[in-house]
Order: sequence, then structure tokens, then C-alpha cells
Amino acid sequence: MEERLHRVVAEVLDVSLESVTGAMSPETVETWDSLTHLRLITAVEAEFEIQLSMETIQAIGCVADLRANLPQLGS
Amino acid sequence: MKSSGSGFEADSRQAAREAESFSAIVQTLGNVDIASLSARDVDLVARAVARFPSSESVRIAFLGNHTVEPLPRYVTVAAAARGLGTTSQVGRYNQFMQDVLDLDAETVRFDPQLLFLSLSLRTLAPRVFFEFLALSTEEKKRERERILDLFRDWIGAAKTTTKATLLIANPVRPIYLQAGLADNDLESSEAGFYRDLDADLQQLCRGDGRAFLFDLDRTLSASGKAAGHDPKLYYLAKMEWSESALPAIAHEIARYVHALRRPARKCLVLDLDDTLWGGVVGEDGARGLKVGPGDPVGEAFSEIQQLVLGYKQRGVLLALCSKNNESDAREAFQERPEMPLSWEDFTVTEVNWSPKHESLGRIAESLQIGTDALVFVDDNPVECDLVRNMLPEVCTVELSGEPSTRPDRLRSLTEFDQLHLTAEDLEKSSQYAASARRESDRNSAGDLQSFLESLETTVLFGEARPSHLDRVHQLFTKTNQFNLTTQRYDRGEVERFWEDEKFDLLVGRVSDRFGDLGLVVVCLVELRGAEARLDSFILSCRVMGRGVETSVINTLKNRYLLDGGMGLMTGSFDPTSKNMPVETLYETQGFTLLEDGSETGRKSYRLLRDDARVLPCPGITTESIEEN
Repeated sequence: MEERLHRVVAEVLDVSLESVTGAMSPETVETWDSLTHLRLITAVEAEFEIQLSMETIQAIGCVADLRANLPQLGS
Repeated sequence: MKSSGSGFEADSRQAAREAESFSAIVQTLGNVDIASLSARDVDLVARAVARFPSSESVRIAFLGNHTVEPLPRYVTVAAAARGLGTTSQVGRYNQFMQDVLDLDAETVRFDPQLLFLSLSLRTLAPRVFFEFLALSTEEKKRERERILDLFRDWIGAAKTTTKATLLIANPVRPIYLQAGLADNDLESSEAGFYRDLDADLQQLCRGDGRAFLFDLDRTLSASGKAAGHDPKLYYLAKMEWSESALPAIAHEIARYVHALRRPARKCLVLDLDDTLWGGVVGEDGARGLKVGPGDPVGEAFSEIQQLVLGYKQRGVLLALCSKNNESDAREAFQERPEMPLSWEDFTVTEVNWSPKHESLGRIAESLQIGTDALVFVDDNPVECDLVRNMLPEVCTVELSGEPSTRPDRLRSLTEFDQLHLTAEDLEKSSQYAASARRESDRNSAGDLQSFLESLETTVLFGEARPSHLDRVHQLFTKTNQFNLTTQRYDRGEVERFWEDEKFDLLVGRVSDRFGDLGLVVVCLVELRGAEARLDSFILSCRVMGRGVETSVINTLKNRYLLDGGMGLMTGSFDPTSKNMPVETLYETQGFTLLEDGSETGRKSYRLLRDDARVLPCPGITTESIEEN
């Protein structure tokens, strides 16, 4: 599961799979701007067939936040 | 035509990522249905394309009053699938007017060749969008005029500051109307507001030459309007379009890119058995063929014939390429008059037992067009494969499988797309029929000289008028054979030449005793002091081989040298794979070869005033176009 998430992150942010960490955020990744943020969200939604709420999307600040919001990986 | 492939497989993904040229990327898209690509794969391909910037790429700028950023990537992919490179620029958010008014704006400096504008009424006219019922009829009218004025101003500005062709998206009609079912009953209804605005916009763009109404409403209807807007994306980022709408919009934009860059194909070549009718005429007989009302399969083939007839009416030439006895085929058309098509609808027929690639070659030859101007439709995969292998430049469409799926596939062909249909196009079928008659006259006349004289050709020649510019642009775009320099000027450039006093844009209209051949000659001459430089000399293949070029060059010699008193005329020949017919034109017209460009193959020529002679061109009368 985590690898699936990381693969999506790597593809959308155009970085290598190995470099993806939970701490990655718009502050640390150059390509992660507000539009990329939405592309990342929609890509994750499509990959895991979920719908995140607007509040959740706004609160997501890093890869670890994304992971926490995937129900299958929640706990 | 692509088989209905699905999304990217892992190996295509890998191939796109590691592609070492633009054409390698195009290859990976070969069997992929673009609409089925995931957003991530679209990103991947768009990124791959961006690695190969080229001056050939079409520059597209995107402007809007909402976030349009996700669209360019999809357009890049849709254009790449057609083998066309693009680079894009996105204007500043909701500064669509500033971006075309300010000469320092990045959009203007980008020098776009295509400029796409999408305005949502949500922000452009919030009262219409949210409070339609609170507006009086008069206020609604004023709102519509205000919106229209804004579009008019934008078009005016964009045409001044850029050379781009403009695509103006129409405001999308809402799915839910504010008065509900009663909207129909309103004196000025909400649905009617959008219809009227659409009609006004079309009127505004029609005949402009550079501005086109981009039918976003129709485009979104095709992909599903409800799913095409995701409120979440709008609230979060002011995006009007969801990922499900983007491929359809991009497809439509790519059609324009294609139409701007590539000449439209000219001839639709059709097989007969199981393509235009169900069954095999040689076995089932004319009566046994499935076509026409009363049988569901017959209905489908009947519709296919109707569509083919529609292509003919829009200026596409029809040809038959079928393995049959010609007498059987003719009999089918005679015995089944309820069929929409008749034998006479086909300008050329190759109904025999020759291999199809040979027949296609003969069809192109007798129409005096290249095989790359053909679209070949056949139900037989073996025939299609053969043609794809022997003549890869032909667009081969395998129209097979369940008959009910076929009409839409024929309908969705974009190979004949043109930005304008000129009067010439709409009359073309009859012109070519006359041309075929001329050919048969030539066969019987024996003596070429007396044949040419018997044609009674008249050339009306002179300066272009505004009404000619669409056709002039079309000739610049489409003419391959009789084209000395093959400069592909876009519509904006043509207009500039026409306005520029340092250039003469000259045109010729040709007619003969069989009929009017239309506007078929274009000369662009740059005036440089005592030198008249022939920048472009284009003659439609319809009038090649009868001395029209000599008559035109004679007129130019008179205009610039003998009567005009200038010192010399210059010109060059730039070889392409197609323009060999004019390789020695300058020599035959008395020009002197100055140099052979060793690398480009360009040959430069000069004609001094003292050496200029008017050459004989029997049977041709030349008159000034102004008087007519």
C-alpha cells in the first residue's frame, strides 16, 4: 500500500521512487506547487478509489498526511 | 485509424519515458486511445514531449478567467498523437485582457500561433449565472451585449498584438436552469440567452479569418457535461474542468493544430463489398445486397452512404477502389436506386482486380494529387494492411466489425478538417469532373498544342482583395507540387503581406470553356528598391501543364521590368519531395541561375531588365482581375 502511494507521489512530482519520504512537502519539493498538490490529490483519489473532503485536502501538508488519510492504512 | 486500444501498458510507459526523439514518443502513442490515458500517463507523455523542444512546434497560449493550467498537457499529448509537436504558455489568472493588450505580457512575447480563450460566465457575468430571474428582459439584453463587446475587444487586441489564430470558447450552457421547466415559458429564457450569445459569437468570428468560435459546449456534451465539472476542483482551485473533460477539449484543440499545420486530405477512397453495402455483389447479386430501409444492417450501410455523400458535399472527392467486375458494380448502383450514392458521385473509379495499392496510385495520379491526400476505407484487414505497408502516407481506415458501430467511426474522421470551406471547395466536385473531361479531351486531341488552344483558358490576374485572403492562405497551406519555395504562411502573415506596401500579393483566377477553375494562382513579391523578389509562386495542380505559369511570369515581367522600370527580378527554388515539377521553371522562363545552394539544395535566380522577354503562351488570354 505504502509503495503504491509512493509510486503515485513519485510520478506526479517527477522524482525518483527511492527519494519519496513521509516528510516530503511543498516546502521541500520544488515541483510541488498548489496545482501539483491538486494533481497529487486527484491521482491518489483515483489510485485508491476514494474521495477526500475539501477540508482534508486543505489540511494535507506532506506525504505522511496523505498516508494517514488513506482509510486502508489509517492505523 | 487507430484500433480501439486502451490505456498505456507498462512497456509503453517505459518507452515514452526513455524515448530519444519526438517521433519515438509519437510511436508509443500509436495504438493508444488518448481518451483512456490516466492523468499520470498524460503527465508522463507531456513531460517526455517537453524534452524535445523544436522550432517546428506549434506555440499555443491558453487564457481564461478560470484555472486552465491542466489543459495544455492534454493538448500536448493529443497533438503528439497526430505527430505534431506543441509548446504552450498559460496566461495570468483572469488577466486575459491584459495579456493581449500589454506588449510586454509574457503571452504576447511568447508569439503564440494559436491562442485559446475560455471565459466562464460564473465570473464574467455573475448576475446571469446566479440571478438570471432577477434580471429584466432589457437587462438581459444589455448583459449579452456587454459580454459580446468584451469578446470583440479581446479579439481586436489579440489580433493586433499577436499573429495567432484565435480560438474562442463559447460559454457552456448550464444543465439546470434557474426557472426549471418553466424556462421555456419565459419571455427571454435562460436557455435562449446562451443560444443567442452563441449565435452572436459565431457571427463575430465568421468571416474573420483568424478568430474561430470553439464550440466548448458541444465538446463537453460529447464527453459528458455533468462529469466534466468537478465542484471540488472549482472551489479549491477555480478549475472549471475535471479530468474527464480534458481529453475531449484537448482533442478538439488538436484538430485545430492539425488543420493549421497539415493540409487537409482531399479524396475519400472507398471499397464496395461490405464497406458501402452488406454482402458481395459478385455472389449475392445486386438484389441480395444489404443496403437501405427494412433491414437493420441495411439501415447502417445506408447511413454510411449518406455520410460519404456528406463528405462529397463539403468538397471531398470520392473514388472507388474495389476488387470486382466493373459491370457488377455498375449494376448494383443501377438496380438499387434507393441507395444514397450513385456511380456518378465518384470522380474516379478503380473497379478491377489490380492490387489496391496500385489502384490507389492511379486514383491519385488521375486526380493530380499525392497519395498522401487519400483516405482509404475498407472492411478487409488484409487489404488495409497491404495499403498501410505499401503506401504508409495514405490514411487507411479499417471499417469492419459490427455494422452499427461503423457510421460514427466514419463521421469522426478528422482528416478532412479545414478551417474554412471556400466557394471553391463547395464546387470542387464539379470542377474535378470538368477536369476529368479535359483529360479525356487531351487523350483524343492528339496534338497538345491544339488541345491547349481549344481549352480557351483565361487568366484574370492582379492584386489580391480581402475576400481572396482565405483562399490565398489555403493555397499557401495546401499546395505542394507547383510551389517554388513552399513557404507555409499562416493567416495572420498573409494579412500582413497584403497590408504591407513593400509586398505585392497577386492572385490569378483561371477559367476555360469547361468552367471556372477558381482562384488558383498566388504570387508574393517583395519590392526591394530596384529589385522585385519573387518570394512565393504557387499554382494549384488543377491548372498545371497548360502554360498558365508562363502567362503569369509574362505579366510579372511586364509589371516590374518592361513597364515598371525596375532593374531586376529575383527568385529561388527550394526543393522538397513534392515540387520537382517546377525544378526548372526559372530556366524555362529565361532566368539566370546564380548559385546552387549545396546543403539546402536552394537554387537562386536572377533576371535583368535587359534580358526580360515575354514568352509565347498559346491559347491563353490574360486580363486584369480588377475589371472583373
